[in-house]
Amino acid sequence: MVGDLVQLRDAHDRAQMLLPWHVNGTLEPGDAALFEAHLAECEECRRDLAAEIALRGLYAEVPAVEPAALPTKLEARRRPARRRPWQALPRRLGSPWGKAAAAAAALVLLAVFALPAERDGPYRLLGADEPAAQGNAIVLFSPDTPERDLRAALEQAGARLVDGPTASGAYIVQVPPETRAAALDGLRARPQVILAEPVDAAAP
Amino acid sequence: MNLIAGAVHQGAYRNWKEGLNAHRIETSGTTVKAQSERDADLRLVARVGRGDAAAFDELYRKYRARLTRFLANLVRQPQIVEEVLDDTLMVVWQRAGDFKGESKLSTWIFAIAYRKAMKALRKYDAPLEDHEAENRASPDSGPEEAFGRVRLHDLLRAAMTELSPDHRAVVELTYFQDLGYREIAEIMDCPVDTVKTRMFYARRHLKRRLDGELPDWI
Repeated sequence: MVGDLVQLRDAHDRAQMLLPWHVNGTLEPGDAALFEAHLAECEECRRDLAAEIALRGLYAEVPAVEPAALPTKLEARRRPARRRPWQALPRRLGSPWGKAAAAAAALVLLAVFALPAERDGPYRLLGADEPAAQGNAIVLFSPDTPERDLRAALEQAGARLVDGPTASGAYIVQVPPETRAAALDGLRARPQVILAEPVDAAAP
Repeated sequence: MNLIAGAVHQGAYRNWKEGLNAHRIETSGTTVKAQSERDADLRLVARVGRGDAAAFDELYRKYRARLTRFLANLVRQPQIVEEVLDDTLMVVWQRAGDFKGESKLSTWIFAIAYRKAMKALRKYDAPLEDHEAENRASPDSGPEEAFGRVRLHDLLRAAMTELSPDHRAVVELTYFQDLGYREIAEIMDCPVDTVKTRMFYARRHLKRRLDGELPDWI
C-alpha cells in the first residue's frame, strides 16, 4: 500500500518535471507515454497543465528587453561637429559583411587620399579650420577590439592618431615614414586589425 | 492549485490541445523534414565556413531575432545584449568551419550565445539575481490596466528578474524557443535532470509571484 503511494508520488513528481515539455510538444516518446498515462489519472496534473499553458502563453506575450540603439564604442568616440567626406560610409561594423563593406569603403577612402589634388592646393579636411596633420596610414580595427588593445597596437606601431574613427570605424594615423612598412606589417599581424594600408596624400 | 476555474481550464486546454495536435499532424513527417532542415543548415554553415558573406547574411537573418530575444531575457541589460550578440556572431563567423553537424545548428549557436552571455555577466560583475525585488512593491499601474495584461506582463517581468540567469535561460528556451530538455542541456552544458529541476523551480517561482492574477488573464 505504502509502496503503491510512493510509486504514484514518483510518477506524479516525474510528470510535474515534464509538464513544460509536454506543453511545447518536445517530450521524447518514453517520457511522453509516462506523462500521458499519469495525466489520465491525476486531477492535480490536469489542473497544473492548464496553468502551465496559461503561463507559457503569457510569457510569450512579454516583449524582450530591447537592445539599446547605443552607438558602438568606436562610434561613441566620433567628433560629430566635423563632417568628413566618408561619413556617409556604413556606420555599423557589427558583422563580417559590415566589415567587408567597411573594408571596401576604407579602400575607397584610400583612393580618395591617393588622388592628386588638382584644384585647391594643399589637401584640407572638409570643415577643418586649420591645416590638418598629415596621416600616412589608415587602420581599421574589429569593432569588438577593447580600447586597451587598440592603444597597444598603435603604440607598438609607433603610430599617432590623426583622425577618426570615421563612420566606418577607420583611423587615420601617422607613423614614422622610415618604419611605415614594418609598422603596417605589425598591425596586420594582429587579429583585431581588419585593414592597415599606407596613405599618401598628394603633395601640395 | 486552485488558481483557475474549471471552465477556464477546459477552454485553455482545448485551445492548446488543438494547436498541439495540429502541430503534430503538420510534423508527422518529422524525421524527413528535420533531416532536410539539418542538411540545409549544414550546407549553409559550410558556406559560412568558407567565408561566404551572403551565406552568413542568410544565417544572421535566420537567427538574429531568436538570439536577441534569448540574450535579452538572459542578461537583461541592453548594452550587454548588443555586445554579446556581436561576440556570438563573430564566433559563428570564425568557427563555422569547425561545425560538423554533431548537434543541430541552432543548438551550437545558442550554446555559443549562452557561454558569451555568462562570460559578459561575469565580466561586468552584473547582479545575477535581484534578491531585493521580492521585497519591493509590485509595479504600479494605472487603474485602467490594473487587472489587464500589462500588469501581468510587469509582474512576470519582475518575477523573471528574481531568477538566476541559468533559470531564465531554461524558461526562455522552453517557453519561447520551444526546445526540448536534451537540447537545452546541450546548450547549457549540464545534465538533463538539472534542466528539468531548474525549470521546475523557475515555474514554481513565477506562479507564486503571479498567484491570484493568472486566472484573470485567462
